[in-house]
Amino acid sequence: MKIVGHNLTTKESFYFFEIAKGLWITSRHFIYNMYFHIAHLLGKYPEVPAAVTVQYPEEKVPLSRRWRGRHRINARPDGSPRCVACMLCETVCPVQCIHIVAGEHPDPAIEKYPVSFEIDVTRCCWCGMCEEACPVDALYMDTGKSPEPGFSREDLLYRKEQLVKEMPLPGCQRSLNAPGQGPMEANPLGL
Amino acid sequence: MCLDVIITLLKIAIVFGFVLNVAAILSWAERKQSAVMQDRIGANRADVLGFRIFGLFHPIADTIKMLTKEDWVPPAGDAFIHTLAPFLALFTALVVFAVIPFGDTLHIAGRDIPLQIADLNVGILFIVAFGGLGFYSVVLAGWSSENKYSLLGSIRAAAQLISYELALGLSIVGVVMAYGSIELDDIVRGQGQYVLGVIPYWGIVAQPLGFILFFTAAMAETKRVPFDLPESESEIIGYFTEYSGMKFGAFWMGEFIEVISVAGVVTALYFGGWQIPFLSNQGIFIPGLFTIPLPHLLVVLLQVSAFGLKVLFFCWFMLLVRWTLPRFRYDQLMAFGWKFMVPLALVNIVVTGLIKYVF
Amino acid sequence: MENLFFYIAAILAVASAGSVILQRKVMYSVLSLIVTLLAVAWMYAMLSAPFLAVVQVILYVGAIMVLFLFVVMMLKYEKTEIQRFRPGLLWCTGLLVAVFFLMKLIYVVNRASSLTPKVATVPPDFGSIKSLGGVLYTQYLLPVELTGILLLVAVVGVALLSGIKK
Repeated sequence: MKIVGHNLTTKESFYFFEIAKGLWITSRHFIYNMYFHIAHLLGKYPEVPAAVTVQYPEEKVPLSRRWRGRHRINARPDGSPRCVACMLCETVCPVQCIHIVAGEHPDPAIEKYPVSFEIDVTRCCWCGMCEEACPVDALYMDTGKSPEPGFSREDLLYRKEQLVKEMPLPGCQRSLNAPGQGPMEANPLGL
Repeated sequence: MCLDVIITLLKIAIVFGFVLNVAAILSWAERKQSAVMQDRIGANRADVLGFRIFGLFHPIADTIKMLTKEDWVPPAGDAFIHTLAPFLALFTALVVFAVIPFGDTLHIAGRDIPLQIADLNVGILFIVAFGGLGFYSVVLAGWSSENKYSLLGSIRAAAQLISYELALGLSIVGVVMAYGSIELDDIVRGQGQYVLGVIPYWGIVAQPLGFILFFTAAMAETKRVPFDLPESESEIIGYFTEYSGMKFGAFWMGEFIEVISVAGVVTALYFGGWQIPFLSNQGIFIPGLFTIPLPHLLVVLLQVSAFGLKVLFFCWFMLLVRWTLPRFRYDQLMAFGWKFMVPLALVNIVVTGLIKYVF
Repeated sequence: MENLFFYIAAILAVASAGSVILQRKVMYSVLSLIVTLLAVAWMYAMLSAPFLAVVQVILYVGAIMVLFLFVVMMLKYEKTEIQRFRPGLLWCTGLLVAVFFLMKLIYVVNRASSLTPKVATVPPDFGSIKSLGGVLYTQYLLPVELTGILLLVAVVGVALLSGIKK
């Protein structure tokens, strides 16, 4: 390990002048911001912000198109999930928060469907790998929502029925197929 | 007799009401001020019937939270001493205000009422003595928690308090020498004189080095940043780790009351106490030019509010320092206290003595 | 009024002094001793010696008891420690000390009651720092200076002891 030292100059070693300099910077910010806070109260200079922060629940910053929020499962035109229970997302999930039980689908072209599809959101690390792994345009994290707090672990276990109902945030949709609309446009596996 | 008691009780009510209310507001002011300094907005969510009044409900919300929280005493610790420690913290911080004069003598209805709770003729020593007792709350809190990290935290705090008390006491000696009295009332009256006829002879004029030393040592005694090694909210385990609920709140309030006490002592010793430059008992008075007579009650009122404003200014200034400077390392803290502050305070005494002797 | 305050202070002092020797826990003994010292300081303050009272608080409560407290804090109280004392010897020493102080007390009370109480007027600057300093630096200059040298030697000794690095 290399320790990079900085020997104080004589003026710095008195602390006093450096402290005064620091106090000047902070009090300058204080006076400047206070001036605009008071001006805003009197209705003056509303265009000059007195603080750089965003008042979260009332104001929100626009989300990036790539922002990973709560999961949703894309639906077929009939409303059933597009998931074919291939287990890729369950396998790729680094924290093993996805649990799928597969069942046979009546349509021989589809083969399988998830009897149950659970995401344990208490374990989810929001890495988005399930979204990338999904081969059938089913699992997306583009709802633009944060997980809501719950009173029990059960509340934080998102099931298939709930995930299918989620809608993508307008403008942020990553799937080529809107949920519940028309036949698929892109389908790498030809399903 | 009876009236005297009532007047004394009234003075106590006024002073302690001021101190306790300002302490509660300081807990709000600290958040707001730090926010404004850092280009943020700060606590503004506490909301009563849709009114937020800049977050001023936060102190009340905090108190309700702390009073309703579980009050937990470590089962292996000592419950009595564990409960005693926060009260000591509050008491020692509060009692200092008993000797600080907050106004000139009030002449009303043929009575002379000194605006000071207790006019002891050992005023400054009283502050040093009872301010120093804050040590016990720290040590007892750490010991009674039966937690080795709390104990280490309290030892750290005790070492810091004892080290800086020395510099604190020595820097006060300079003021005592400059005004030739140990009574706070005399010192404040002495600051009503003028140097060269125009500059008010305040403590900061008489003792510039002493002021810096005293203020630094007093900030160390309040155990706040940059001297907050005993507790260090975010990283180090301090002496009140095992406290919860209102007992923790008492330590917290004690810290703010200490800030106000330090502001009060600094005002009384170095910034003229209740003195307003060029305002004497007769009214506004510019030496050699003119005098505007003012009624006595108005003068006293102005002086008392001047004292209050000076105290508030120093509270603001201490919050400014707290949100500006980073924390000392422990060895730096000790070296600074013993190798820098104490010798400088001794030099200050010698220089003051020489100046006194020459002039 | 003054009498009332005196009796409160006296009862507090005696009760806490009793508590010092009756407490089973060392920490409580130390705290009781602090209360005793504060009560004595209170009495000094009422005897128009406020300087002595404040110095009592600064020195005894603020400095010496701090040392006591540190020792008690650092050492764990162990039952085996007390078994190392020989109970017989302890009892004998205790009895001797008690008898000595009882005789002293009887002597003092006897002498005090035989004296007629004189109501002396207290000079106005009695107990003030000025008068005390005057006495200390004229009449008792030598003892004061000698004490100063003793303390200096102690300070140098401590500095030397803590400065040694092996």
